Amino acid sequence: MRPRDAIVAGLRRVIRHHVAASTALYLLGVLAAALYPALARRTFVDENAFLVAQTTVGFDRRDARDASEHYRAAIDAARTSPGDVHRSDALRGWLEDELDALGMERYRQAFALDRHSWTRGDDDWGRRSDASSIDNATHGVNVHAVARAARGNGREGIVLATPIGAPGATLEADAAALALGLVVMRTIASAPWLAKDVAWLVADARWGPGDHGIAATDAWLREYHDPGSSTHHSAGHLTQHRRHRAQLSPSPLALFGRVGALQQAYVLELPEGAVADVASINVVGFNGALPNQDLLNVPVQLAKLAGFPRAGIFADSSRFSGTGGGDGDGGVKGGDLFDAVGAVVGGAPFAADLRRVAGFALALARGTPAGSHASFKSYAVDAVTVRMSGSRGVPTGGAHRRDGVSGEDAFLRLGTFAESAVRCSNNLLETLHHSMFYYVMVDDDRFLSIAEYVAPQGLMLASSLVTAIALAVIGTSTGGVASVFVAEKTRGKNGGKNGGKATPAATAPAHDWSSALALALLAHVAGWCVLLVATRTASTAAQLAAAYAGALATAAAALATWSNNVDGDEGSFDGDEGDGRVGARREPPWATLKVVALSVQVASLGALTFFNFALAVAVTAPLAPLQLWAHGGVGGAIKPWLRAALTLVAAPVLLVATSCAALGTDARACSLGDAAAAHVAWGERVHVLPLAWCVAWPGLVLAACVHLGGVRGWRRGASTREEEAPGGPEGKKRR
Amino acid sequence: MRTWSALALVLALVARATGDAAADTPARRAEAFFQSSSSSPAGGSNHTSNWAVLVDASRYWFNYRHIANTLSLYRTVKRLGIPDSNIILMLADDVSCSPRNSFPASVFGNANHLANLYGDNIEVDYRGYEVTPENLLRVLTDRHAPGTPRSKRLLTDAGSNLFLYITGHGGDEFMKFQDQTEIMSKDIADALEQMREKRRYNEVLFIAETCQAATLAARFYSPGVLAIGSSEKGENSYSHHLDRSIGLSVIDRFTYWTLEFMESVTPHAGATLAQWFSQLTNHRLHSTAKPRLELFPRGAHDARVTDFLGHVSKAAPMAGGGYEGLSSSRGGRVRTESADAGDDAATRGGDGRGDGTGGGAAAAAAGKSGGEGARLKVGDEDAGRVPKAVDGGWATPGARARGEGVAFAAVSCAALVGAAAWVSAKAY
Repeated sequence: MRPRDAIVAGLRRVIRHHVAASTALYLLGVLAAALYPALARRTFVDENAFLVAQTTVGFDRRDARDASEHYRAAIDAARTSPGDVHRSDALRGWLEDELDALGMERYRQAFALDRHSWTRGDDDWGRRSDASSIDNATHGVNVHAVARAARGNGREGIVLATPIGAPGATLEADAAALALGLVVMRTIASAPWLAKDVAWLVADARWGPGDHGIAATDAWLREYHDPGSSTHHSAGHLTQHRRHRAQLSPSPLALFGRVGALQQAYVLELPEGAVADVASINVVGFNGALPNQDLLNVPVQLAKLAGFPRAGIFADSSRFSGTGGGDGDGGVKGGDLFDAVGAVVGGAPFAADLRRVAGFALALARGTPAGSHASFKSYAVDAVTVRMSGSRGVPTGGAHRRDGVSGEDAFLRLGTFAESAVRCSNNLLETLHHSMFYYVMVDDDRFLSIAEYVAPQGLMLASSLVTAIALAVIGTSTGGVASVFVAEKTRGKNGGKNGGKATPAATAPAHDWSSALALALLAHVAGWCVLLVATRTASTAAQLAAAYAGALATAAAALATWSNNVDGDEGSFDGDEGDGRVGARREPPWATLKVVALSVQVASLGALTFFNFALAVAVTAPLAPLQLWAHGGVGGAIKPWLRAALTLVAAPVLLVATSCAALGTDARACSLGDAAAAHVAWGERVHVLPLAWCVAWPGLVLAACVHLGGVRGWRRGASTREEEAPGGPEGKKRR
Repeated sequence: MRTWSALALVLALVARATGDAAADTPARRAEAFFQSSSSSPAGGSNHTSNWAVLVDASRYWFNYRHIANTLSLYRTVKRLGIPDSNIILMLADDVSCSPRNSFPASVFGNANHLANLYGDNIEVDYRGYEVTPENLLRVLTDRHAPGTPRSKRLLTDAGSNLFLYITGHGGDEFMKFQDQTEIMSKDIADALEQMREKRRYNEVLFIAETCQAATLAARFYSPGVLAIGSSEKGENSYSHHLDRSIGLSVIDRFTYWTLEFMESVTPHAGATLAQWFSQLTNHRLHSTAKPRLELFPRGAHDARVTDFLGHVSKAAPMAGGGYEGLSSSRGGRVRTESADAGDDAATRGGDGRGDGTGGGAAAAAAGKSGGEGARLKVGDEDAGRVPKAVDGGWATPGARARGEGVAFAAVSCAALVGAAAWVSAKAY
């Protein structure tokens, strides 16, 4: 037998036993996901040009002392400012004076906020924002300074960013960030090795979702790449700000200094002030977008070289947990599931690895960034946020920590890290193209690349694909299956003798594709309507009402469509063509609908795999078995209508509850209303809600409709040609 | 009659004496010296000129060490006497002018910064994107576009010993250029074969410093080529040390230990290639540097380092002594630095791009060391023999011709006089 024949025969056998094959593939996918930690590889810096750890650092103790003095001066300036001046405005004023004293280029950008960025309402700080501005509720003020490379060509730039004024930030935190940035910029500006211009962005973090100044960074980047546009993005109802656009940015080109094409950005956050024990690296951007992995590994190495006892993506144990509470492993909080797997496979370390993988994947799946590096990634600028904190890793909000390194020593570490990071990027001659952009971190020094982590998703999608192909090609009828294969076999044997004619007994399934496609389209349109409701109302009840209304409409349409063909002879032959060729056997409409639903699922989730792998897996894992389980059989312990109800009601609830229990998340916090509000707050840039309503929910609705196919048969008194179990009777018989 | 016969006899004796005197001139002695030198008992090289092609194939700031490697050997071959006119220097990047360089206009091959390899006296023949596999092959085979400057051409002949050094990033039988293109071992092998067929070399010393460097010579098949790489197949080649003030590695191990050895080599030293290679141990290189000798019948033990990295000159400045007033015959006036420091500075300098292309030893020697006021000693370097002193100037084929001409004229005159006397005697 030739290899080709062997392959074809194997595929036919898989199709013939599609129930067993799909089940095996799905279980294999789950097993592969459970074995993720065993596939992990060591991290490494792939780009040699970074030249990590090969330099002496110019930032020395004298600079650290200067930073400490600046820190105190900034605090004094903020405390002695007039009462009607916002604290961050006072800090900005002090900073601009210091930059002028250094003779460094500085620029101020007043920007109008997008509607989605303006979710916190009026000033949370209870004071007026900026004395020179027009409205404290709808705009922010960014300041950036530029260190020019005397011998550079000015074509490429690096960004240091320190957001200040975040709602949770203390005065000490903001003052420390400014003092650090000021001295680091002074050091860099005088460095003989500087080949690229460096911009230091002090983003106004008072506004927008999250506490990281993402809205401000967005505005700065818009202005950077599209001069004058940051004021164009005000929402329609902010007409007053449009009127004052000229006042906000009278001559953007003249007042906004640039540093060439942005290559990398490092966002430094000091939530506890001048404390430097833990350097927590954050790389997750919008919808799980990640920077080149080199830009994760380099800061980890630099932080360790600078003296941070802990540095890495899991260094801060409060991250990657479902509710923000740490469990010490940097992973999700739930323990039972992972411990159970660990008990079977690799013990506690394996369970801890698995927990971290789940935590990182969950952060990717959520799609909401935890740092303004995400804004840079939106502009294809590789960026990371480095959050320096105390040894406990949990921000205290206090001024100084008494344990660990603080004050001058902390500034020495911080400055060493910041200068080293800039110098590494300064050494680069090209944009980052080595290493990889698709990865899942297992630990600070281990990861899974797409080559490893894509396998479970591929297997689960393959299980759906096998069933879809089987139903499309051989249908649900036992006779049809057998006869088709008999016919093909006969054709194969007699192909050279009788011109490929098949035996008259052979049949092929006939599908009513148009009805099934119309139903699938209806289900997805209904899901899209739910999304519209969600973005307009941000109400849980409204979303549920819209969702189930759409589901009922789809189900009603399915039943109505199929009842029109109730006299139609599903399972009957469309007739013999008289020339001995295979006659067409009409398949039940639910089988056709199942083929369409599975195909849509495979196509959409397969594509999503390459945009947000974690989210794709999170949707595929529960949706695939529900769709595979769906069938229009009339037998079994559960009635068809009950199966449909379980699919639409019990399955989502059970899924949410199980996921929350496994991930350690409070199920009560999973509010659709909050999700919709967050979706709007993030400018509808996060894909979770659209995926839930436009892909996952229609999938469930179609699965329920497939179950309802049995309702019709049940009313008619059971068709003998319909299958009685998932996968059809032929599966049982062949087993 | 008797009177005329006696006169003729006297003239004949005078003519013979004159001829003997011409044969015993310094020219005669120089010729004898060359003959003795070329047939040295130790199997020494009979080459007549030295050339070097030094190639840095990689660009970008983080490959600083490859530029430093090349410049280190450039300085070395110049110190040992090969003039810039006989060096083709190819640098794929100019790190000295990189804005990332903390020491602008400088290149250092050692963290002690004692020697600026870039210096004040450097001639880069191919720079930047000119450094390509094509141009290297053009240089070796002397197939250039019309109008190519002479300084960019390798004007070797059948008497030339060539030192070919190449460093960069490579792999199994290839070397990357500019991080974009590659040259294969077979390409270089064929170029060398073309050179052999065109009688463009006498012997070649090929050195590659890269990962799996030995494979770059794996396809060589032309005789007279000795090759050595910094690493064997499957091995990496490593840098030696960091310079933290510059922020990267500044030199590779093979070159570093080569330079360590070369510190003890003077232009007139008798150090052999075998002695050099013995210094390149696995312990030092972290890789295996094993020469390929089957194409080089003379063997590494009989080949001196200066046969390739030095100059063919038999003359060297000598502190003190009475050999003054020498002048060059073809090489023009060339400034020669003081030799007060001894042999080390013997032939340093050489800023004149003299002819030196086909004149062989005499012309090149004159070009390098024939400066005014230079104190020279002529040495036979073989086996440390006592240098022969030649006074009255360095003999050349022209001088030899002049001496023979005088003798011939004297004999002719004597014959004419004798014939005239015989005719007169008959007439009377």
